[in-house]
Amino acid sequence: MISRWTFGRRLAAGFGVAGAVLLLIAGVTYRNTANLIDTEDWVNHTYEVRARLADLLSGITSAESGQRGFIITGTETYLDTYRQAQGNAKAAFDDIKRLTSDNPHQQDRLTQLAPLIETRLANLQDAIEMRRASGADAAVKMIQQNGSIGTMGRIRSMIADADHEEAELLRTRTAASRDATTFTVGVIIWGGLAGLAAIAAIGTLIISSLARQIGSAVSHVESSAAELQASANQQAQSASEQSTAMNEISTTINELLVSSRQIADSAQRVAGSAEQTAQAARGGQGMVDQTSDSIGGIRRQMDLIVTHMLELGKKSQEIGAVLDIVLELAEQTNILAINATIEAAGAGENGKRFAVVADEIRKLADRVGGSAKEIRTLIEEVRGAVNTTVMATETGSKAVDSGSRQFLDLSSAFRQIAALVGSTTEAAREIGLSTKQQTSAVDQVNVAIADVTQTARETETSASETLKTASQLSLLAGDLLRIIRPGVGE
Amino acid sequence: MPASPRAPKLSRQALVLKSDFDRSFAEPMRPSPPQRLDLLRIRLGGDPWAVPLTDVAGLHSGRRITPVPGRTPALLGLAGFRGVLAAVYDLPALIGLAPLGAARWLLLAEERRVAFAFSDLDGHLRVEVGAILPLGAENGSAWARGFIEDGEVRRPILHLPALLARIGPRHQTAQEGNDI
Repeated sequence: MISRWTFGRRLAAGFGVAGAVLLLIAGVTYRNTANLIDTEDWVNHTYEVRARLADLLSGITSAESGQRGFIITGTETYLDTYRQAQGNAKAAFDDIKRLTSDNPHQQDRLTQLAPLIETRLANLQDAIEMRRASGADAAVKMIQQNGSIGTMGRIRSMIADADHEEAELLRTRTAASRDATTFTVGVIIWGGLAGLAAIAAIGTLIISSLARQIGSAVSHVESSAAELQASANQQAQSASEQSTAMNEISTTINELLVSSRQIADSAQRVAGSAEQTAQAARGGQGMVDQTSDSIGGIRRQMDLIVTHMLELGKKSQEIGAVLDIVLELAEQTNILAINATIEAAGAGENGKRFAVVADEIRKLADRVGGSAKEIRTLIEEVRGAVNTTVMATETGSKAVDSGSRQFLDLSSAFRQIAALVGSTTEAAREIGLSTKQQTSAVDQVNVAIADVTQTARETETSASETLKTASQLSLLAGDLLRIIRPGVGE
Repeated sequence: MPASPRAPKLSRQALVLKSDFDRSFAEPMRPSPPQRLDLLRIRLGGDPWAVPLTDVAGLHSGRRITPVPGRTPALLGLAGFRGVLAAVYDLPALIGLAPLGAARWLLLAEERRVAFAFSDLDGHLRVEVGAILPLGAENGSAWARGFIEDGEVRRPILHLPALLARIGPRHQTAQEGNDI
């Protein structure tokens, strides 16, 4: 579990244990020192009590001395001493009572001592009063009679008992103080040694643990630094390649930008051309409509031509019929002429002149017949031409009908063309708008790519810095490893 | 229709005809030389033939032929010519050619009792007598008495009297009919 602790926690735990040892030593020392001080205080207190007991006895004794001086000499000056000593005795008694307030024996003793002192002081005062009133002898006599020697003896005895008790207490407290001092010195010496040993052990433990784990960590850091170097190299190379690629992309984007602008211009020109085409298509539709009307007129004219041609054919047929009659008449005339020739030959000499006429008529009939045949041929040709013309006209009429329908289709096609050209115009405008937006977007992309390129360069620089840092880190790891494991790497 | 180039030609031809016709009546009479012979150009079974006008009494067309029974297949029937009935014979059949399909032309013989039917008439032809050439060993020479050169066509001259002699006994039937 300790191996999972952090260095800070380990150090805190080590210092905590050392601090606890020191704190324990300090606490014990403090407690012993406090006890020692308290003991010293009690010793001093005892000394003070014993001093005040001496002061009490001295005050009473001095009061006796002043009283005796006054009684002997009658000099008031001794009374000053008497009064001062009386005050001192009372102050000392009060101090003793205050100082021994924790000691019931002394309090009981003081309770018993207080009336004796009062009595003694009252005897002294009575003697002084007697001296003033009756003279020295009376006063001496009074002193001899009032038993002041016994009172004073008990006072001395009780003060001596109190002092003896205090002396006993002083011995006890002095011994306790010595013991406490000895214990404190022992605690300080042995506690310090123990704390030192504990700190040394903890330090050794922490140092070995730190050396082991920091060494392991430093090894990891060293290998990580090597990996970081490799990674930084790769990153620098990648950043360089990325920068190169970004430059190429930027070049391509610039070309794309130029292309987009060209497309936008082309789309604008296409829109203009489409608009002109739409106008041309509308004009073409108008022309087609006019041509369709003209074709209608042609159709009517052709119908009229067909009618006239049919009429001409009919007339030709009638002419043919007439010509048949003419031909038949010529033939009959020829026959008559031949018969007339025959008859003239039978009439002998008289028929010769008639034969001449008949011969002329026959010739005329022959030539008329020939001409009639030629006319018939012509009529047939005319009829054939009329039929051909009618057929051609009907074919033309059908062609005109077809052309009219085609013109209708053409008109519809022109309308569709106009509509499609309108759509084309709209599409070209949308293309132009979209291309402009695309150009704007490509501009933004270009800017972004420039940023990316800059970032790639910065990454390359950062990778170089990282490489340097990794190298330095590797060196530092080696140094650190040498620091924590002397002899390693030397 | 383009104007035919023949129209002016026909007009001129008509004018020539008119002037020739008028001139023929204005010129003095010039009798035909006797050495010339008038012929009818006909076709029998598609072959060109010639018939002297001196052998016929008339040329007619479109006559109604009334069939009558007879022994000769070439007899087509009877037809009337100005109040005279004549027996009508199939001329190609008589000379051994294919029979007629439709008889359009009728040649009335000199005796005016027999008529010969044929289909195609080419017209009139006047030749010099000396132009008649003797026949060789050609087919139909039994019914021909010479031939003439009509352009590039050789026309045998049909010998109608020989045909009449062949059908002589029979054409008396029509004679008898007329007598009745």
